Amino acid sequence: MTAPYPADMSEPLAPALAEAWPAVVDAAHELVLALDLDGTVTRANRAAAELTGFPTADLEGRALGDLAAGGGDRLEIAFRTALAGRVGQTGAVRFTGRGADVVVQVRVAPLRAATDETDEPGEIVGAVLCGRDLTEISETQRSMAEMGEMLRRLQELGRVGLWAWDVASDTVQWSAEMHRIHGVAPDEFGGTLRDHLAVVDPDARAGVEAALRRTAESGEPFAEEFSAAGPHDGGVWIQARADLRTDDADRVVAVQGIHQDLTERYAAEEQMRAALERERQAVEELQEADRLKDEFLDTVSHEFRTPISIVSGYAEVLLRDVEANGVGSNLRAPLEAVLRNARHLHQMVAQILDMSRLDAGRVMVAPERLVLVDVVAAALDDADEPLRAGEILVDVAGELEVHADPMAMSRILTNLLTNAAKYSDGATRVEVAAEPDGDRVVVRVTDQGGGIPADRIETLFDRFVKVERPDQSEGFGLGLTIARRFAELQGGAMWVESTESVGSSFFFSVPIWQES
Amino acid sequence: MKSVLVVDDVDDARQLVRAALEPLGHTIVEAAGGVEALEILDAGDEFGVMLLDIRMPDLSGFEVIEQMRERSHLSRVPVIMFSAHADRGTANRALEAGAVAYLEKPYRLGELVDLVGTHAV
Repeated sequence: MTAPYPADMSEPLAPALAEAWPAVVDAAHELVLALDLDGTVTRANRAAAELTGFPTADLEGRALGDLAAGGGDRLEIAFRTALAGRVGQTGAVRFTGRGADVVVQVRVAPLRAATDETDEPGEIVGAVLCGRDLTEISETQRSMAEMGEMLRRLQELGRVGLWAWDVASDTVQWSAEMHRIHGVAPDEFGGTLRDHLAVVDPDARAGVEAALRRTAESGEPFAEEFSAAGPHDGGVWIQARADLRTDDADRVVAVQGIHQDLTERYAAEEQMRAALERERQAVEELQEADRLKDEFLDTVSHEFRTPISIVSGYAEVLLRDVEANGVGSNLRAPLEAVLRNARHLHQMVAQILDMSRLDAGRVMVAPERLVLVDVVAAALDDADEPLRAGEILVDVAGELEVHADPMAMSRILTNLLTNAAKYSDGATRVEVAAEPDGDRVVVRVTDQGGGIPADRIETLFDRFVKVERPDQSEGFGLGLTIARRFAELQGGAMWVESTESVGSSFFFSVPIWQES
Repeated sequence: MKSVLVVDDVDDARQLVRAALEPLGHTIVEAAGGVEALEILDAGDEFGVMLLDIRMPDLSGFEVIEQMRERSHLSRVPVIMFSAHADRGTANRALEAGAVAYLEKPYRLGELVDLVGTHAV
């Protein structure tokens, strides 16, 4: 008689249990097969059907060698071992159960005939095969291995090394990344706190050690930054953090922490800082250069005005004397030329300085209450000689008052009047008129000059733009640019209307004076 | 008519004022710098008006007018500051410092004559 259980079981089964045994075997998660001496399956439990993928009915009568999808030869060896009276064990054997590969570890034990004499083993009549499903176990192992690998990659990518200091035994453990960060091979590392601290820069070492001991004693979190030995010259910059680990009984187990290698980040930040610093210096140099330029222009302007004032002043004094004494009247025209050119020179110097100050935003306007007709009269008084020679028509109501800056108004009107004189022949008429328009006054300066070609009007107020006339090319082309900027500075605008060979009208608006 | 004291380090600038004002009956006294001007004032001569340049090598016009205030000259002689500085800041500063008027160089002959006529005591 063959029994459906391993025969090396020492206690004979109670009859009731023996009867129930097939059901017990069927309930087991382990694969159980009974084999005859040829290796043919004589019994199979439910788990066997599940794990091998053959229905129980198909399993019985099937040869052992047909069952495995892989590692069948191992089964064979284990079976032969069992027939030889020992327990055979396999590594992993693959079956195709549950529609997928199942990895099973198998033991095969001899099955002996029952004997009455308990100290004599019975004759081997077959074998019993038990198999344990390793699939889930190996998946757990694999995912643990994967997590370990991820942790390793994380340390590597994050340049983070892990360490733990067992305070009681004074042993320090380093992760692989710690060794890489500090350029200390595992077999070079002594594994004590002293060895751990040996990589810290000597200047920082005492402080780091004190902080670590504080953490071990009080649990205060450890956070330090220091330079340390690295795999290359120059070392590494480390941000270290750690805290205290205790066991369930609140006993200190270890100080666990990390070393994060911030060398690359610091290098990048250092480069950024250096670039910003260079930029800041460049800006400072430019500002200084700008300041020097302004100062230079002020000086140049001052140095030009002084001799100009002497030339124009003497020309005026001499002209007055010629008038008064009636002598040297042949000098009148040359003296007038001297005066005219000295004033022109003065105006050009003034324009360069104005433009420079306007560009630098250094022109402040201080609007005040002004009687417009007085402002126009003063500007006409200042105007160049050629303008005085022509006919001037002023149509400005005496009661018109504006809220404007006297200096800006003077610059605007002088530029417009000089332009009107320059671009029309001195003998033609120049008209200055003003009309209130809501909260502003619009002032118009009209000449009877050659007008401005339509394609030039758009750029007329740009700097250095001049409407060329064959007989005149003096000036920088800054006058209108400056005039418009001054008009805008005191809250107005400037524009032009022109018809070729009829003349041009320049308009500018200025806030009207209102009692507040 | 009291004399006009002209303070300017540029000889030609002083000569120009002389040429402009002498034919109108003014007597001109010249000082080529701030120190000389203060010495002349300290000597006690009376002046109808003083024309004071700003940019001078020994003492600036502002330093001169400050000294004049300290030495009580400022109450006796009206000061017209003049300069080739062409900004409102300088003009305002001159008036704040105690000048009765500011004249920008180059000036019109008429402006000079009018200012001296207006302020001379």
